Amino acid sequence: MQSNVSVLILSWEYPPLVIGGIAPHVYELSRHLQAGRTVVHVVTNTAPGRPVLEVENGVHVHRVNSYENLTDFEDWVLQFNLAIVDYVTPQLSGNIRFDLIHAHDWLVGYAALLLRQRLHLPLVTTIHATEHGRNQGLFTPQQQTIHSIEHELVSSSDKVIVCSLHMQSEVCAVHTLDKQRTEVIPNGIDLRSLELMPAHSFRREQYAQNGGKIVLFIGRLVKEKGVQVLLQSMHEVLREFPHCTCIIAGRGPMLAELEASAAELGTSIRFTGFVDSLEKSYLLEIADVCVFPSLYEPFGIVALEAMGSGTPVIASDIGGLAEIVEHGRTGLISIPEDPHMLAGRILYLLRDPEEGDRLAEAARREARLRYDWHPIAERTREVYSALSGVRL
Amino acid sequence: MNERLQFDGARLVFQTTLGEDTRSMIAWHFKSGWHELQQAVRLTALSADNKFAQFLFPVDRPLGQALDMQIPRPGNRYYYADLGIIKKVQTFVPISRSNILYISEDLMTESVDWLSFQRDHSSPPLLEQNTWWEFFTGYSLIAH
Repeated sequence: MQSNVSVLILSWEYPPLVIGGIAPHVYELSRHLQAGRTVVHVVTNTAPGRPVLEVENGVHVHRVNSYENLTDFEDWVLQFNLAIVDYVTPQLSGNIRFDLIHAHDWLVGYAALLLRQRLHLPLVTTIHATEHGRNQGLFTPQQQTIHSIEHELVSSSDKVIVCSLHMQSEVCAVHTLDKQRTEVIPNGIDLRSLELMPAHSFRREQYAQNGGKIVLFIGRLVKEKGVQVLLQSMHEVLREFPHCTCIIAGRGPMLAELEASAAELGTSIRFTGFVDSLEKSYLLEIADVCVFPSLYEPFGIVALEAMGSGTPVIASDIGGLAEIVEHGRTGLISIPEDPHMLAGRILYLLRDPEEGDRLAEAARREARLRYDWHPIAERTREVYSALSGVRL
Repeated sequence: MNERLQFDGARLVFQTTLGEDTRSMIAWHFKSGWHELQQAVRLTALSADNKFAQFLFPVDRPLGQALDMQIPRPGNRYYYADLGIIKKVQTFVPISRSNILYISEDLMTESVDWLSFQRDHSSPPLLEQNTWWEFFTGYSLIAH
């Protein structure tokens, strides 16, 4: 007899609290799991204006307040996790029978480890990125601490889900993990969210010079995203296309540094700050090319969204991006940290819009075929079933 | 959240015992043995006339004790208490929080979990000020 499987998902971010890629991933995964015989309870961080408990798209969302807003980040993580454990036991687990726990990244590691022991449940962990990979090594005490928590979480998990073959290799190498303990399930994209709503107030003139080409970057402004390389490449691009605008859409700790680097390029570089999904869809629609010059990229969800939108994509030959984008078929690949090659790729597409359209159309078909959330949620449910013994 | 905080008619009592798994994890976090960590209990009180107070009580027994907290004028107040670690003399890192205990003027008590407390007090029962609510509960009342 088929049954529902009940999962306790732990995630430090969940919409409307969106810091990086974990929030949208957990949101989409949760609602697609819920649609197919899975009872989903997400326990996450509090968000301004949202109630402690609500049901959204059939997903039960519990927003737990940390005990205190401490300035020390590591201490904040500890007491936030302890607050989660205090909330789940006995309030939540006293009323609900869970079949397993699914943790997302090290930030909920303490809670996942304690709850696994206390509730005697299988633990699945998704590692979205490693601390070692983010920093290309471990150089500070904080990075070492985060790595330790991540290592303990990975080692204690019954299954570790990663989004790409590259991440599988990385997690297994960094944490000395047997590949059999991992499962590669790609991230998905919600294709409906890429469709622009008919009524909007965006205008091309807000972003770019009349008739000029648009080169777009969307993502967090951190070193690993490689925006500094894109800015270097724009010197060469602007020599041939002086009316081109490079739009940098995102926020992050590198903003001031990047703005300083871009100063000599004047109004050809536009920093928009954070863009919501509607504005992101619009930017993808008007862009001539979308560039992902990452130095480290476990997957590349925004690149996948660009592909799903039908925007020509140039991506670094690195990590998950190299698995998503096939050079010459669904986009162009560029060597990381090589602004000259990147400029060459950009110029190639700006000179030949028809080639860009051809690549974009193939990319759109690929994105819809391989990265739809329904089969991804189904594969995740199969992992749940195998670990919990609940037949689906 | 739990019923660590009790009132015996004369004093507030806070049970500081933590499970071995939690102690191990906290000690691991602070890169220290559990017995080397300085524990304390911080009591937060809100009076009927909207006045806050916080009191700090050191914990002497690392593996747990029923800590007596004598306070002036217990009646008609809300209380909650945090067990925490004192870090570098100055910073209090909470590691466990009690439920909210209400003591009426005739010293009757009611213990409420945080979820219920927030739900039942969606509008401030006292003055229409958000600040004490947000301080006391950590939750913002904006746009519920």
